[in-house]
Amino acid sequence: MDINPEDQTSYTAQYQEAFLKYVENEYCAEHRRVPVNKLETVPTSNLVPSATASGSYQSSFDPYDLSSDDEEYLTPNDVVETTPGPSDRAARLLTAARLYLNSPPEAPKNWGQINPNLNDYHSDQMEISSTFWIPDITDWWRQQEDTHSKYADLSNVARDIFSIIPHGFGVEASFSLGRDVIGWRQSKTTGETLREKVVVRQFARANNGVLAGTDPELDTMNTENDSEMKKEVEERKLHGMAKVHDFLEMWQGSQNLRVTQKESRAQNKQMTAVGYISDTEEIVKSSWSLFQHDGAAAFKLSEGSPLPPALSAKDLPGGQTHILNVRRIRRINRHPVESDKDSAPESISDTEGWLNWNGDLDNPNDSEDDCAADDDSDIEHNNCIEDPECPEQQDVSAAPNVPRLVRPTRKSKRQAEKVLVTVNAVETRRNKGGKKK
Amino acid sequence: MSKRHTVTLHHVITVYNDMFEHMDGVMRALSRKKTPWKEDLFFAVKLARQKLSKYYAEVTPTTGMLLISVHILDPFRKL
Repeated sequence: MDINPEDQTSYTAQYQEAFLKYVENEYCAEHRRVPVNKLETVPTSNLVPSATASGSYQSSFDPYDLSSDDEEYLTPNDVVETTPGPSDRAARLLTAARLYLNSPPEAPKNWGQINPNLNDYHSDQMEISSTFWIPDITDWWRQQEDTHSKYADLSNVARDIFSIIPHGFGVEASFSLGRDVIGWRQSKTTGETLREKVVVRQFARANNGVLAGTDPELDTMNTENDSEMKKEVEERKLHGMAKVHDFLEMWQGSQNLRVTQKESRAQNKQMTAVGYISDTEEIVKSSWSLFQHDGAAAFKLSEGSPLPPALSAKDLPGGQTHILNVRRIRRINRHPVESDKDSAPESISDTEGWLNWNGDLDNPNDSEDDCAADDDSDIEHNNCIEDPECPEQQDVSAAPNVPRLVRPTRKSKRQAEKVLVTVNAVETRRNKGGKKK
Repeated sequence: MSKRHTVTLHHVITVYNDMFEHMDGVMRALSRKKTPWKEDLFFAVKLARQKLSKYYAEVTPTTGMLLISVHILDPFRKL
C-alpha cells in the first residue's frame, strides 16, 4: 500500500489507487497464471462466444477460481479455452473495479432485497444502533453474482475479503477483561492496580490458568509456604492430641474415684456392723429416767389448771408476774366498801378464781417487803415494754402516731381490765347479798 | 458487533470515525466549561482520543489493505 501522508491528494484517491493495485496484483496476476487448454481438444458445443462470456463464463468455473491456488480444480480437463483470455479477464476485473469506485454508493431504498422498514439507514449515520448494521452487504454482492451484473467479477474479490474474520473471542475477551477485573463499585481502583491485575490474568491464561501460588516451580515462596503449612498441620495434631490426653486423664480420674467410693462403702459397712448409732434403737432404748425433769408433777399441775402446764409451773421465769396480778386483785378486794371478812374468801367468783389460778402461791398475808418485791418485778415487767425484743412493744408501737392522742399503754389496758373484773365481782356479790336479805 | 451474524469487517473504520467525531464534538462542547466535573470529563475525553488515535494509527500498517478494501467494497458507503 503506497499511502503517503504528506501527499496533498485526498486519502480517498490514494486508497482507491491502492485498491486497484491490490486487485491487479492479487487477482489479475493469479488469473494470468491459469493454464489454458488448447482449442482442438475442446468440443464445439462447449464454445461460447467471448462476447457473451462476460456474463456466463463463470458458470463452468468455480467462483473461487480467482483467489484459489488449486490449479487442478481451476482447470478441469474437460474445460477448454471457452473463457476469455487471462488478459481480458484481468482487464475486465480492473474495469469493473474502476467502474465500481467511480459509481456513487448504493442507496438501500433502491435495493429491492432490503426491508422497507429499515430505510432509515441514512437518516442518522452517526448513530450506532440496530439499524447501523443493516443492510447486509453480503446479500448485495450475492445478488450481483446471481444476476451477472457488471460487478460479477468483483463479487469474487468481495467474497474473499469479507470471509476474513477480523475479531474473535480473544479480542472480545480482552476488551471485556477490564470489566471482569473491576466491577461497577470499584471506582477507587487505580489504573496501576488494574494493569497489574490484567497482567496477572494474562500470565495465568498464558500458563493454562496456573498462577505462581499454585505452581510449585513458579512459586518462589514455596519453601516458606511448605514450612508454614507443616507447622499448621503439626499444631493441629498437637491440639487434637491434647484433647485426647485431657479426656484420658478425666477418664482415669473418674475410674479412681469409683474405686475409692467402693473402698469407702466397704469401710462404712464394717463400721455399721461394729455398732453404729441408730435413730430407731435410740428411740426404743430411751426412758424417762434419763430426763432431769419433774415430769409427772408438772402434768398434775396442768390437770387442775385451765392454762397450759408450762405456765403453771413454779420454775417459770415469769411466774412473778402472775403473783403480782393476784396481789393487786387482793388489794381491790380489800376495798373499804367490800370489807366483809367473812364473805370475802367465799365471794370470789369463777372469774376471780380464773385470775387467781395460782392463788395457792400467793399468800394474802405477805409482808410489805414482798409487796415491794412484787412492785419491783412489776417495774421490771414495765421495763420490758421498752425492750426491743418484747413482742408487745412492737404491737403498741404499731399504732398510728396521731398527735395529741392519748394512746392506751399495755399497763393501762391491764388496769382497766382488772377494774372491770372487780366491778363485776362486786355487783355479783351485791346481788347475792340482796337475795340473802 | 460480536452479536452480528453477518459481515462486520467493513464497519471497523466507520466505527473509528464515528468515535472520533463523537469525541471531537464532546471536546468542543466542553472546551470552554469551567465546572470541575466538566473539566475532568474534557480531560478524560482528550486522553481517550489520544488512546484511540494510537490504535487507529496502527490499524492500517497492521492490517494492510484489508480494512481499506472492505470499506471500499461496502457498496453503501464506499469512499
